[in-house]
Amino acid sequence: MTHHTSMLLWIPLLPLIGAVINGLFGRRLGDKAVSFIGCATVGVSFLLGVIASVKVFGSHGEDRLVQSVYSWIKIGGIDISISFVLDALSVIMVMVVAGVSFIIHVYSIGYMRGDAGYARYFAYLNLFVFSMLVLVLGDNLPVLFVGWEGVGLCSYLLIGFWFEDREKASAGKKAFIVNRIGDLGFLIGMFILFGAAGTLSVDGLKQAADSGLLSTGVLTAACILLFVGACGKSAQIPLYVWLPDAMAGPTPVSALIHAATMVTAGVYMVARLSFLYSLAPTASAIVALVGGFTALYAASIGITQRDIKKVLAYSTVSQLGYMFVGVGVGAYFAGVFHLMTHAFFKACLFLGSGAVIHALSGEQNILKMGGLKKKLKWTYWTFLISTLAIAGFPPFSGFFSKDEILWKALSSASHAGWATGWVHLLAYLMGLVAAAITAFYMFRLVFLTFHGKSRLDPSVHVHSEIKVMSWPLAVLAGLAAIGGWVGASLFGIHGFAHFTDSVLGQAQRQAVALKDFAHSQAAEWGAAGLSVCVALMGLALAWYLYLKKPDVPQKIAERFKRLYRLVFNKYWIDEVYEALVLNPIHQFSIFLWRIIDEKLIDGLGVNGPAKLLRGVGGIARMFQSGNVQVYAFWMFVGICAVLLYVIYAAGLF
Amino acid sequence: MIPDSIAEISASQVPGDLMAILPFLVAVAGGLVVIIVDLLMRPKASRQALGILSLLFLVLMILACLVDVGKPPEMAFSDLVVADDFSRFLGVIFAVAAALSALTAIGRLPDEGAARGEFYALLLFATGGACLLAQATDLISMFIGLECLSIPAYILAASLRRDPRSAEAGFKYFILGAFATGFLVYGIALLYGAAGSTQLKEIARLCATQPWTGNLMLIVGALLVLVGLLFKIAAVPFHMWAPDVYQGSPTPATAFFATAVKAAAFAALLRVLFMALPDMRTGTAGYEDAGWAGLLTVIAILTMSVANLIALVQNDVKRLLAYSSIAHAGYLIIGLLCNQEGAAAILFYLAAYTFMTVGAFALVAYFEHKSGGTSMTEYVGLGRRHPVAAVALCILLFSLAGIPPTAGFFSKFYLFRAAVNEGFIVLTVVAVLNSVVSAYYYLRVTVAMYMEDETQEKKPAVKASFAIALAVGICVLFVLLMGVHPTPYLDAARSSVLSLF
Repeated sequence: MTHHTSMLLWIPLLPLIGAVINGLFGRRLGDKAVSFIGCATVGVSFLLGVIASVKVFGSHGEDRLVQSVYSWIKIGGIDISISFVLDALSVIMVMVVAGVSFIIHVYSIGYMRGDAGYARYFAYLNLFVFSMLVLVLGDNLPVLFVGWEGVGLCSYLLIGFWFEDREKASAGKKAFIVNRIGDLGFLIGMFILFGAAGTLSVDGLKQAADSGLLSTGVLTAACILLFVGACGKSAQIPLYVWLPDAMAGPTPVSALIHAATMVTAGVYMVARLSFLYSLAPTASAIVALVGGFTALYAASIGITQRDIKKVLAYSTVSQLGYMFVGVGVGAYFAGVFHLMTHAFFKACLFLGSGAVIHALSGEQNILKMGGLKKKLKWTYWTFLISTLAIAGFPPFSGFFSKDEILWKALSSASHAGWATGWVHLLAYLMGLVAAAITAFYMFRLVFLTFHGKSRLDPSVHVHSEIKVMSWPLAVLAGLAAIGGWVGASLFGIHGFAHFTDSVLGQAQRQAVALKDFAHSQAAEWGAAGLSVCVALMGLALAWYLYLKKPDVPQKIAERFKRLYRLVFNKYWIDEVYEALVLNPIHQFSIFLWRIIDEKLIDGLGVNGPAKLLRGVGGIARMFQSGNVQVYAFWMFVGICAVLLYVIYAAGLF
Repeated sequence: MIPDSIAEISASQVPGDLMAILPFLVAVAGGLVVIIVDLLMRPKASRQALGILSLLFLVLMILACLVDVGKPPEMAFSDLVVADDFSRFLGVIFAVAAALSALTAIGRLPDEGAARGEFYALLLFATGGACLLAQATDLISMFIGLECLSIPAYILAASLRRDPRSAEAGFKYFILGAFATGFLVYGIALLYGAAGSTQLKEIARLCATQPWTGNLMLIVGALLVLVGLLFKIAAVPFHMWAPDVYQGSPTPATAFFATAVKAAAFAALLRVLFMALPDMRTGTAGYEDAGWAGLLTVIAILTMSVANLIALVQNDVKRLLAYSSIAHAGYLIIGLLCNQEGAAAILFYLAAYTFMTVGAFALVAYFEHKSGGTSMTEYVGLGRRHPVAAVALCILLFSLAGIPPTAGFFSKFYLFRAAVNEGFIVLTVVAVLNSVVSAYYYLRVTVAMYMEDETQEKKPAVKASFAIALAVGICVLFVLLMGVHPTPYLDAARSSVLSLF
């Protein structure tokens, strides 16, 4: 059932109003008012989201709310309206985005206290929430794209928030440029779809897909190109390089934008267009493979990182890979499910790391931490719960969602065609190995930070925890602990899958035959057991290396020096990109600048005609003598010319 | 059609006839009231109240236009005028242009020593004339409307009595205007001679029933009427008066000339071309170029190119905007060639153009010092000294250059799309190239405001004026509104032109 409503608009609009007020008048209002406006607008928009969701939840995801605000562009065959939809899929996103945003806004009050750009920070953050909500509520691809670009802009602004620092400013630029590459793919994909279907609204595309209007070739091309966009936004190979650098921004920003919400936009987009991906098996296979490989690859880098936020950044890249495995193998709800639980535990982890950094006055190197367990109680326990969740230990949320993805990949492997089957099996294996590594590097992080002896600089004084920063941690840790039970399929709870069925179900059934194997309880338990086993192995290894024998890692690193340096330096990918992509472009652009632009275009192209035109203009101006008789004379000449023209053309001579 | 005797007009018809020209009546009544109140005021008293009074009448006029929107066309005064959506749409444009000019005048004229009551009265009379012109379905009523519009305009141009440039502007406007009117009247006479009627539809019937290419009287008559109207829109080669008049006149009056007067002349052109001369669009087989389509193509290209080229070398912002307004007339002529879609695009363009041009002139008036500083060097550093006003001017200039998301972008877009659909590819390419050229001189102003270093010592800040701020605010608002959400305005323009075809 589709209901029309006029309240959806206010959900994104309120944060925008907050952004405008804080952006324009924030400095005059003072920090208190700024925090209030920032938090209240997002909070109210969350409440509105809850109220609007009642109908969707009440109908178990069958109902949806739509609002068409106005017809935006209407030219010939193009009719694009600003319209929003709240269905089973976007309701989850709205809850996650608005909810987590609100929590992080509150946390930011403590974290950003005293910063010179306090009002600017809240204005950007509100603007981000607006863009993200437009993205998830948009009823057609152009509106989604508006949000998509908006979050990209806010991400850029917030990464480079402390723009006086050159490195931080250039991290912002890097994120922006890498995302631009992805966006180009997204745009072309959109154009292909429009060319083939003649519409860009989600409903229209669905109709076109259902009626067979779109050929497999078109679908595959469009889906791959859209996925290129997703790779940029969601930091997948080969466009993941910006996300680790994005940690230059304030930590709450890392938690909100670069962990919980924006980076999951690509996953959301694939789920939103699941009806297209399910008809393009090749594109889906690519999604699954890229996701699986990214999960494994980023996790391996996570082992060697020393910056607390960098570890979490690579872990985010890796977890996003899992989500893409989910949507790639056709288990769209599983990908979205992991998106949700990841938002909880990763936001909590980031905020926890922020609390640590804050307490240590800016120290981020985990080799210089240790033994913080007693001094930062709240932080420690919430961090631990979230680590258990991300490492996939039952009964925490990450276990259920990650396992759902791995299980769907495995169980579909035998039912899909042989090529797709191998892809799914490969994705499963990469995911499984990555799960072990995840447990290892996450517990390495916990042990190095909170356990063992303190390796702090003697000069560092550990600040006590701030309350306004602690309770957001508690809320998120609670969600990270129990949030997974809405989809605990192992125990026969299929709430999440059923709820999203009205949006994702059809595509899911179309994508791969999931249903037969999924009923084999024994196999499912077996697979889950295996996941837990590898996670335990990772945990045990981390315990052995970092608590039991803390000097061993050093030895291993020296023994396998080359391998260690390769991983520690992130496989030299940044350097490879610089040598293969940046330098040639740089050289080429210098050539363009010096030779083509300055000599050819400026010299012959721009300045030449400009000089010529100005010369002609100067001559034409001479007629403008100011003498009225002369004017009248020229008018008369003009009339004669007109008369002659027509009489001649009409053949009267 | 002249009735055989006055008695034929029944008494009961008169109120209906008057209702048909209600916007005209409101404007003229407003002018009379302003004159009378002006007489009652003490000589030294501020005339700003009169400006506000005239605003009141202009708002009434907008309402008078809006209440009847959607009603079928209604002929009045023995088919001399018609009240249709076309005239109502344009009536709103005239009133808005006049109101915004009046707001500018309220803020600016006291400094110029020209704050006399008759300024507002003349503005209202001219607006009434414009309304009549847009309603005319007969060459006689068209002529009355045109003169009712022009004569107050001549006086407005000369209203800075102590400024020789203003006097010169008024004088030139009058001499050359009279010259053009001469042609127009001669053309009307010839058309009457050829068709035996001054009714537009009678002329159309004549053109439809016999091949016009052989009828020299008809051809010359039609051409002279066209020339008279092309003079009013300042199309090349009948444009030479415009830069001098626009620069010399008080800036609020210039804003009115560049928008309302031009829009009114376009209204008359649309009526004449589509209601009287649709069959003269192209010649008979073998002489396709002979019709007004070929002629206007040449004039459009000339107008755009000449105006943009000369604008490139201007160093005075007010004069630059004068050339810019000639160039825009060139773009608009393209719309005349493109039938229904073109006419709708013209109306949309005129609405958008009114906001951006009046806004820009209002800001010129705002920055103008008593010394008459409108040269580009006066604009250096304005970005720092008057940040808000500078941003507003940037938005308006971007719109004039046709950069999204402003109204200027969509007006050009709709116009060029209509041209492409009608097959005028070359013309469109020329127009687009001209837009590129125009971006250069619009951006020059922006560069002066933001990027050039101030050489002189600190200049005194300009006194803020609420009336001008309000006018500019409205203009910027609509420029952005029509750029972000153009559909309702375009739909209104589309339904308004239906009565022409």
